[in-house]
Amino acid sequence: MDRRGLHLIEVKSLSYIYNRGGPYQTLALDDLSFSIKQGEIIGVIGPSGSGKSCLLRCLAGILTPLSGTVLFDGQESYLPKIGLIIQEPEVQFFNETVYQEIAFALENQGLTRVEIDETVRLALKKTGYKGKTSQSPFCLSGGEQRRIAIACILALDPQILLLDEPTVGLDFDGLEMLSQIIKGFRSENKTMLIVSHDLDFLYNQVDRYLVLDKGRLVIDFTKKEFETKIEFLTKMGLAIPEILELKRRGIPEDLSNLEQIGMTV
Amino acid sequence: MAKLIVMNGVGFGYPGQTPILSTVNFEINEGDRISILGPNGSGKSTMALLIAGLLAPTSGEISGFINRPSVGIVFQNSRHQMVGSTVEDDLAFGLSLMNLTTDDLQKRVAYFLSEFKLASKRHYNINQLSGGELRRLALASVLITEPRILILDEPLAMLDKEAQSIFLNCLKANVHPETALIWFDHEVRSIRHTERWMVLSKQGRLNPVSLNDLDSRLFLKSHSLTPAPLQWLEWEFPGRISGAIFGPERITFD
Amino acid sequence: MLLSLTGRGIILGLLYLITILLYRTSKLPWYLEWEVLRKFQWLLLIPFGVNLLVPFETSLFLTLSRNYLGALIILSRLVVMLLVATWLSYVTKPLVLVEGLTLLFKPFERFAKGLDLPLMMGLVVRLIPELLYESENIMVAQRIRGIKPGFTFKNSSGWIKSTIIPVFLSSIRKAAALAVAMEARGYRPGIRRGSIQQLKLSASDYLIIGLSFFIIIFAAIILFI
Repeated sequence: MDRRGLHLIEVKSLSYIYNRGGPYQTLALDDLSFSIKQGEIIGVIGPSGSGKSCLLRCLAGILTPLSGTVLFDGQESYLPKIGLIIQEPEVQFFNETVYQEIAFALENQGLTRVEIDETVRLALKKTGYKGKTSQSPFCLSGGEQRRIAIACILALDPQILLLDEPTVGLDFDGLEMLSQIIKGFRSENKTMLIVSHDLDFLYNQVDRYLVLDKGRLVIDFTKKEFETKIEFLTKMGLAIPEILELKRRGIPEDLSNLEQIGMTV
Repeated sequence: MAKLIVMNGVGFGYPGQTPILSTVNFEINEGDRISILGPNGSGKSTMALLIAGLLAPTSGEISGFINRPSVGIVFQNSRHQMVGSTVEDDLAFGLSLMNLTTDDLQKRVAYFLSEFKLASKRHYNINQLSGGELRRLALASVLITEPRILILDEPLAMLDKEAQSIFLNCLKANVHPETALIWFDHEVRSIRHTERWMVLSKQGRLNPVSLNDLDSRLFLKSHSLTPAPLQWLEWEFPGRISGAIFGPERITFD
Repeated sequence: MLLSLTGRGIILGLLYLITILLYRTSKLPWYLEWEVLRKFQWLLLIPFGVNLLVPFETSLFLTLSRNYLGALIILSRLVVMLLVATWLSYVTKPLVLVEGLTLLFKPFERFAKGLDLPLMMGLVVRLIPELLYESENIMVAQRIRGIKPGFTFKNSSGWIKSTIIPVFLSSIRKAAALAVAMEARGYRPGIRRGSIQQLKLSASDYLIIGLSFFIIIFAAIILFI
């Protein structure tokens, strides 16, 4: 069924409080409302402590919101496959081989050995892993570990992928790998939410931005509208992608159609 | 300017494995502001530990090693170097290892708290600090012991614009002109804050690098360095744009 | 036998009074004692129940009538200890507690050279919240991969593998990184360290010490005459 255009995710008045009832009670999400269509790739940005991680966890069903609802495809009870990749996901490793690490989630789903083999192979292909599956995940370099950790979640074949600060600890090769994965997801018309502080990276990956501050959704704008939001974002202390800052200062006429040219990464 | 550390043909590796560093020739003088660029796994942390005297080279020699100058390191993950559970305690830790009276200790702590804009968070638990505050605290707790060499490992990573500028200001204001500063990073744009630039290759070799090299797409690709956000403009329109490495403020169109 | 019981009763009554006084004078919320007791109710009620029924006499009535006083006394001891310990943790910052303990242990220092107790305990205080946070993250990740929340007998092996191992590894990694950082910051085992706070004995300290001595001697007299 062609789901393009339908609201895949609808968030209505979502609120969440950490440590409810205790002395360290904090309002993490405050009456958030927005909708997302299938196939959208969205950047969630905002100062630290603005509730971005909390939002991802509520969407993934890890945290139960205090109030408000999250509807998928218009229904409250339908929960599509959602993958959440936490910050520095390599900490979750505990298996002896790469194969076992990825197969773990699949075994919990009760797939047959044949199905698991195939899914593991596919997940590794999607992340561009070229090593052996018998390799220990702990002996891999940081970038490779990130690749495997992402493969662990991609193996679940999620319709919606939530990424929490995926650029942390990655160097250029790692960022290229991440970029490929995002492109792959986009080509499959799947939906993604990416929390990141690195706006230069997001600028080339993302169509729309949700800006959170102290748990509230302050603005919701598309890539095209970015230039009009620069003042606002600067006031919040967020870094503007350098390309936009350059445009603000002025570029010669013949170079002004920069939107057509994307970065190599 | 006095030489602080001289590395001669220094190498480091574990037996049976490919060496992490090989034939490194490197001098650190007082007042240096050096960038060492390299991807993850190129041996940046090993270099830092060698400079600090926490590791001994497996080949070559490091002079100034026995009576080595004091070195302070701000690690990539600031949380990993916190010893005290509160801001005040962590600052005091470094000082507690020097022979100071409690009174002097308290005075220095108070001074650094205000210099690094952490005075209002004096009694805060380190888990309550934001990323930027944590990074500032790490810098303060290292500078409070007045090291002769300061090593920074990707100090601006994970910080938003405001946190970055506060950090850089604190750095400028509190690093002694005679202290040598070494900045490890994989992002080419980090050279904006230093004067001398070197590249650590994946094979573990350290070589000085010129602006021409850093402007070359091929060079950056072969060394796995992250280009500055505007460098692709230079490559897309060769000859028309320069200074992209230094950002929108210093870019020029010809 | 009865006299010593009464004696114990008097001492316990005194201790109760002092405990309540401690709580009142420290400006802690009025319901705190009850909260503490409620949290540890099983820790208190199980020994109470056991002491009521053991040693078991020929009939239930006989058992209870023989044991109730002893059980009450044991319960009271536990309650007082619990309340005083919790009061101490509410009223004093953990690191000051550690400094105080170190001062107390000063005469025994020569038995354990190089041991830096304030530092060790300080590091524990420092690392526990971080490890808790990390284990939360790990549990989130494993939950996505199919480990159901809530530890039960059925999924215990899954939990042990997927949660305890990564948390364990993470703590070791953090400890190793911390060790390097500490060495980088100049720490060497056994090194002499200054302190940012100077703990001085004041009037209230002498008062408490004197009071404790008084109670102990009073108790000894009552119990042994």
